[in-house]
Amino acid sequence: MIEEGSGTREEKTYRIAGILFRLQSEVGDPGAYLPPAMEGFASSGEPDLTLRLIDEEEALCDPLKRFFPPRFNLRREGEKLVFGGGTGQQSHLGYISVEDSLAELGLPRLDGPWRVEEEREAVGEALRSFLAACLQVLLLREGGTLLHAAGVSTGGEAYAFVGHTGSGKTTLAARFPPGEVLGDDLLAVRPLRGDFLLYGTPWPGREGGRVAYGGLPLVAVFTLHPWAPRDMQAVGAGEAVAELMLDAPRLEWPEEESELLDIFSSLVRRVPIYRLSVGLEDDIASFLREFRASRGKEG
Amino acid sequence: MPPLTPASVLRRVEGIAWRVIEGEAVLVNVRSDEVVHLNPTASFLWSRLDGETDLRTIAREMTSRYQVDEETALADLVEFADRLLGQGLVEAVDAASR
Repeated sequence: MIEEGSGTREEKTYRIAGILFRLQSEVGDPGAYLPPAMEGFASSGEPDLTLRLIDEEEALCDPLKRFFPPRFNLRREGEKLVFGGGTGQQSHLGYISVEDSLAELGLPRLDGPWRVEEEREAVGEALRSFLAACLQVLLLREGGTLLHAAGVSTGGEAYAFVGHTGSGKTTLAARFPPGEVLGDDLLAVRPLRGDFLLYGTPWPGREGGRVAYGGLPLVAVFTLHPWAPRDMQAVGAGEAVAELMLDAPRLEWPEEESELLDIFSSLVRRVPIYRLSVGLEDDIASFLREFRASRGKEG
Repeated sequence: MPPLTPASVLRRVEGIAWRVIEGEAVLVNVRSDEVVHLNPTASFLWSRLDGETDLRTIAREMTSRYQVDEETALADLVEFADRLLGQGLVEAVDAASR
């Protein structure tokens, strides 16, 4: 906590997917509104982005009107990406400026009081969405992205199982020892020195997920097709990009699709993509062991 | 909408992000979040719908790239272009605006 003039500012630094965020709050301690796993990403150092939570009169007057329903987007206004949503999709709730390494979100005091519980939930959802938006914008700048995927690490290598809601990511992750699961909801991938690395995020999903600052080399991506007959097929580059695009998290700002296409095009050139059909009864951990063994023989 | 003819000219609509990856195009309709993956032949046709080249010219280019006669190439191209029009991925260009 930092005393500053007449006010008090909460400040904490986090390292997520190799990106350092400094979270500064002049609206009270945001800890209760952050993902529970966030604390595991606490770090130190000079931030890539300072994320300020600032006192906002309109947010204080009627948080529900400002932040509900919890559907948010980014749009470009000059050099800034404006964070909008809630009742008015064109509203200005905050912004991200990559050039200035700064992001701001206008909020009411986080310690309430709240007139109804829904106000607190709406504010929390806005804060979580904004944090994810900041992470995605910085990842895209680094040639990386968030992925809706389950991630498994074994033998110093990482494997991503990509799929939409209901495709079996959580069930699949539950078949592995907890220490091997990077997450089953939202992971991050970014290139580094010729490899693509897979990282856990503060949104690991129901199966938890290992908190890890460092990423692991991504060795293969499997796109999940639970309703097809049991099979695994390598897919061509174009088809692989199309499949990855289908499950990519989006905030609907104009350049996002082009950047994602570039990132996935780069990813599929370096990492093999397989279409995988497995059922709930299948032993996915054995499958992965056999897959690794076959790769070893090929190598 | 008037039927497509060999003289029709089409262009890709704004708001479609696309890349050709190893000869195969992936299209993303930003407005609808629809993702379309095209095979190499369709990808070539897509890349030629530039708002300047008419369908007959593209069909002739097909005959030199693929072993197909012009009539067949044109019929296939018109069918493909019709489908793209229906999906809102391309639009016809008025002769007057060319």
